[in-house]
Amino acid sequence: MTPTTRFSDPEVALKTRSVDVTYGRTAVLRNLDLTVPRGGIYGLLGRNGVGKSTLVRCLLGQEPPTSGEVLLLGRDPWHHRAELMHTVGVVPEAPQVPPSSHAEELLAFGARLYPNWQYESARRRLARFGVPLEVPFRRLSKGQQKQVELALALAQGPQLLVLDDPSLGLDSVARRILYEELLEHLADEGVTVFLTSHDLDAIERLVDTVAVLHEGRLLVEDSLDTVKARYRRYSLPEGQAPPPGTRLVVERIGAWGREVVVEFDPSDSHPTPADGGRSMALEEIFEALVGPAPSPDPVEPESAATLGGAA
Amino acid sequence: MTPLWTVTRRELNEWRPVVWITGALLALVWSLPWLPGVPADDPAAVRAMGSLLVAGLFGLGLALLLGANLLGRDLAEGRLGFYLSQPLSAGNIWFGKVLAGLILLVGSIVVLQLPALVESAWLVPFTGHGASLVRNPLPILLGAFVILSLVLLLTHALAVGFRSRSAWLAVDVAGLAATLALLISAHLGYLRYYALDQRLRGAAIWLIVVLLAWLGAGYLQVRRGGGSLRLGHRWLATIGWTLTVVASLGLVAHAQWTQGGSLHEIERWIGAEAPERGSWIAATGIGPRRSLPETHLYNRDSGASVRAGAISIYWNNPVAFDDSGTHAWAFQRDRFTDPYLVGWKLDATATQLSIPLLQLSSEPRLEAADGWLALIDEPKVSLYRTDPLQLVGEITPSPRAWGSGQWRVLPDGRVRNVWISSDPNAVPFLWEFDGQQETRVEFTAGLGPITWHQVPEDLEEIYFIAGDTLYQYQPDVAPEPRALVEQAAALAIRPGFRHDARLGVVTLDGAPVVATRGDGSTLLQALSSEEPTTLTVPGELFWFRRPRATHPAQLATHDGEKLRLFRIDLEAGRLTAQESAVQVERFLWPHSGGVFVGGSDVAMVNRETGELESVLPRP
Repeated sequence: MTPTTRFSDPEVALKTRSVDVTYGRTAVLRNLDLTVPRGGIYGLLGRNGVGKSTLVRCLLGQEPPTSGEVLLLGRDPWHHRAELMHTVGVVPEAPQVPPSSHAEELLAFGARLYPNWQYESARRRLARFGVPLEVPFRRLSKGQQKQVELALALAQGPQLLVLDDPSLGLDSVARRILYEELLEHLADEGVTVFLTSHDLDAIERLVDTVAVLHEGRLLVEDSLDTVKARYRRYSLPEGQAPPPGTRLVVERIGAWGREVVVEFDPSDSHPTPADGGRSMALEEIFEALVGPAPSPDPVEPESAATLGGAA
Repeated sequence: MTPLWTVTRRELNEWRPVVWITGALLALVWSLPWLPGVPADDPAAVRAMGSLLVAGLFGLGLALLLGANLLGRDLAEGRLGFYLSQPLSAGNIWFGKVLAGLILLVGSIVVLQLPALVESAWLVPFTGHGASLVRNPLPILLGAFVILSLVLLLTHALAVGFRSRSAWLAVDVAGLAATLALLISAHLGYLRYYALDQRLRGAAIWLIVVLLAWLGAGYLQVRRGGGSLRLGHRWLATIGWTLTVVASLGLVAHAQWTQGGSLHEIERWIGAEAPERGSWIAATGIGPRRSLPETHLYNRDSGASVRAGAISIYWNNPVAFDDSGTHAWAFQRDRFTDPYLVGWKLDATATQLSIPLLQLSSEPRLEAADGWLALIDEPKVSLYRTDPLQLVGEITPSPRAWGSGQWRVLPDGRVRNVWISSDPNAVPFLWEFDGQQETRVEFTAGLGPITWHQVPEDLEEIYFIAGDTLYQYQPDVAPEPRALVEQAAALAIRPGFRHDARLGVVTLDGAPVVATRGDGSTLLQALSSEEPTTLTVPGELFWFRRPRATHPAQLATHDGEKLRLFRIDLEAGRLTAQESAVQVERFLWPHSGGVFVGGSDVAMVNRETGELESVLPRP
């Protein structure tokens, strides 16, 4: 039995174990363990440059990790990328579609590669969003471009959909349409979605599981409910300790007094006491974990553009 | 439809504008004869040459453009992810893109070339310069295709290198420099031989190997580098340049091997010459490794040989021996430099002499005698003492010395030139230079126009007919020509009868002998003895050697199958046939110094015994 098959699990869509990615002397991902269960929406949060897109490329077999193991639908994507892509749809952060191609050409291209290509369904989807089929991709609006990429990703009937910050650059209307379309489709098909995004509001409404990547490491990975139950905010007088059994995450002193965010023991099944603490939105938890101000981003030496995606 | 073809088809779609540009260029080529300033007398020829030029330039430009954007742009702009997120293997992506590029290259060249070729080869047959190319364009089209394919792949490699901006770019630069240096090194020898066409097969193999190397390297770039420009570049540069440099080293090794054959590998002898004395001879042959002539110095006694290089000996005797056979001199020629002098001291190993580089023209001549060397290089004649080489004197003789003049260095160091023109009104002269002064004698002055003449190689006696009289002129014996026969027309001396510039009139035992050829036989008539002697040679006289102290007078006949040697005994009026131990299978042609060459045989008359002996290893 090879190491890659030892930790394979039919209930898991994506899994990494001890993954490191380094460029020269710069570590982008450090000892990363991640598990994406099948059938839900997994949201990966992180500031710019923390290695999200590098991780996506590793997960899709477009780049090998420096060390560690990756499983995509139970197989090593670096060695079985072509076969795996029959069941994986990808919407990249930056458009990758050839600029001179128009949607009709792209749909025909997909039809030659995928045996179960849903040509008519994709055409209808694009028509519904008013995307012209005979206009070169580069002349479409960003929202239309994203719709084309989403249509291509869904037309193959994927088991797994990887969306790398799909709302980046979209206005609020386009973003809302994109997510509604996504949820509608998922409700129909039961596809696993791996989603990275800055759009914390949307993530909070969409995802089942959430993870936070910071400085190459995964700080949190759990179901959204658990994560939200685990972190609470307290306003405490000077000198008063946080509630017992908690870990102080962050402490702020402002004009309004002293405020702390604490993490309850994840092993405790009833962590939420009625002690005056208040629950937090995902955005607040994220900010508490990675800091309010942009932290010095570990710069990926190979820029997004040179690596086939965007960080 | 295979995934590979799906990629190819999509890439062809991407490059649609190339089709329109090719169509526009085709229209330009066909309208060339009507453009102002273009000669319109042969429109088919104009179109044929125009299409060749346009197809070549456009093909090159297209190969560069396609190569620069084959994969590098997709990687730099992060668009290769489009292919990588499809069920396409690395091979499908890479070879699909390359195939599209090659289809565009071939397609555009064929579209630009084919109509003009069809027209000029069949419809309006073109017979001008380049007609053979027009009638048989396949080799050059195939060659152009392979070269342009390599240009495409190398441009891809360099474009990826420059776009990656990594330290591995140094590998590209070093690989390119090393490859160019090795290619130059591999071909310099052939350029010196003026035989670059001999390299076609080797160059074709190298091109194909390198083409395959870069195809493989490109595949590994995608397979092992995925969407990473830098990682892919590392694989591309390492594999591509390593294989290219190895193939280039192979080309250099092959060049060394083909240019380094020994005398024993010669397959066919084409020329040889020998000095009056000594055991060294110079022989030129063609080896098995290539069809280039190469010259070796060979010691008949010891069997030692020295490679003299690409000096070919045909009829102009470019290797000059002194009479004793102690030195040999020759010119080496180089495409990039003027000819330069090389020399050997013919000791046991024929040591090459160190000679300062002399500025020479393209057609210099050498004449040597014991201790002397004359370098005759229009417009200057230079006389040297040898061992060590030391200039004695230089002179610029009259322009009339050049052209039909014959040259020799006499044993006492005088440079002699005998000038006789085919123009009967031009007065012949004998010119000499002793290193200090020149002298000039018009030896036919007052005798009238010359209608026939014969000047032997040693320039010691000159025969000519002026009026109806045959004269003998021996400048070292008498200041004036001597009349030999008053009614020379009766001798039936044929003006053209000079197989090797020695025959026609010869001197045997002090008596001039006229050789006249009949049908299948030759008559030798002694002119000055009281009892005229006539000898009939059975067969056509082919070679004659004057008697010297060390060897008898001999002649040879050749009937096309067999060489026959005879000793001449004029006093007894007898020819004695010599049975030769050398069995020759083909025609042997006489060369300087009594050497006969005939493909697989090089034979020489032994000066002591007069026997014909095989002197070089038979291939």
